[in-house]
Amino acid sequence: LTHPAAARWSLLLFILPALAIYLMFAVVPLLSSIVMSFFDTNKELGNVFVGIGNYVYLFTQPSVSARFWNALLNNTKYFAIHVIVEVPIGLLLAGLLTSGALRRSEGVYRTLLFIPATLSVVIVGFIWRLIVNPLWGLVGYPLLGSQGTALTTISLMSVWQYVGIPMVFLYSALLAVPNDLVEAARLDGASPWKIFWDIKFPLIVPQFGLIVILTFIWTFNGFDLVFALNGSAPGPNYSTDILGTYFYRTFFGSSGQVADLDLGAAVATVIFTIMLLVTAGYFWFVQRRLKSHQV
Amino acid sequence: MQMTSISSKSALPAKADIRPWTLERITVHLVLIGFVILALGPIAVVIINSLKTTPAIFGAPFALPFGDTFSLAGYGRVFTRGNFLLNYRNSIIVTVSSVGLTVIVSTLAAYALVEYKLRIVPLLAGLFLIGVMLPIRLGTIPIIKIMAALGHYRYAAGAYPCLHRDEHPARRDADDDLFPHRPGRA
Repeated sequence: LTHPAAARWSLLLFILPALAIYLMFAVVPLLSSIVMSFFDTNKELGNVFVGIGNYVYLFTQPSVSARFWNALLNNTKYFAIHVIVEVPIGLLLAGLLTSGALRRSEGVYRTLLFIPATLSVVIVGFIWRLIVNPLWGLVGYPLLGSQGTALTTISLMSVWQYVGIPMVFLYSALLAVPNDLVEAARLDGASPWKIFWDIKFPLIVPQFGLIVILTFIWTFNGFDLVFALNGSAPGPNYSTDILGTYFYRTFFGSSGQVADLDLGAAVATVIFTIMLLVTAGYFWFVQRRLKSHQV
Repeated sequence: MQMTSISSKSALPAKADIRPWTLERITVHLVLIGFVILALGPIAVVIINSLKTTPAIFGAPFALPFGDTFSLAGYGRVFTRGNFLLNYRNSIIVTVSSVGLTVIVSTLAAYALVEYKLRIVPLLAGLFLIGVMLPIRLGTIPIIKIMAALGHYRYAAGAYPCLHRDEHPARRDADDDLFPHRPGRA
């Protein structure tokens, strides 16, 4: 047994490199982002404490707040499409891969289906822009050019790219389901459908919940695909604007919009708070109630 | 407890599957083949088009390259006009150094978090976990200030720490939004 004082010293030594990098480039920037949102640095006087002034401006200035709510609504739709399409397809594929119907081809399918997730978003944007182009593409309708369809189209491009992630995640969860349980159910005459929903799925609910909340985190962090396709003022008429691009535009500015560092910090803090609340709420209300079984 | 390790032999059975082709197995294969086509089809379109002339791409983007439409000119231009080798070298430098640093530093930390049972350990683990959930983009403004203070603002080297702390592959591309005014960025 290690002496407590020695253990404390070793722990510190082992953890120090990671902690130093993490504090300097993640914790401190995030915290100072919050601090900055309470100041106004655009004045010639230097930093002026303005309290919640930036937040009041963000939520009361009509054009600024309208864009924010629009981005939040779009981001919610973006997340909803991922949960409705990407996660169930990932579950279906994982279920088929572990259904016992495959032998040697299991690894081949798994690898092939994961390939799009390894592509760069810029390439994904390029590929799909070519395919959905109304002039020479598969559909004669401007999917990316119409306000009604642009966001769904971009969401589905992202779903196409990342469907391999929930697949692999749930696949490894399903592999951990003990074979004796499945075998016992099969001997009792349960159909594959029943085995999946009554035996396997209840045992992977924790991982299923986790992939949903991870999808929430990833989609609310979303930025790159929209930016690669539509730039920092994502059209048509901001119909594909999500929180990531809204923040980028506020902070870095874009055509017709002056960069505003303090307002950017306020936007960052609001996004930060939304994500923290939803994630904490999920772990508090859902993940905490999951029971663990000894099988 | 079940543990997994890597072996020199494939874990999958090498024997041929001798079970009969039931309707159930055929259906599973058909559905999976359908999704494989959906996953790889768009990539195939790009590869096919890379072998065609520019007018042929816009004339019939989904046609195979035959006769006149076949051209390897694009591959030549990648190396003569695109500065491809420089970009490739930069990508390798960024990837290798950030993956290397991440693996070394986080393995040390993970070992300590598992090995030492002190009261502060769950707190530290929680602190690291929060970082996985929050996008570093929200800390962009202070990071640029830190970089400027370190004198790294004008060097690509300044991008490493940001890449390092978030190993999600998509972040690699988001790097450019952290340093939009970096010299050498098109």
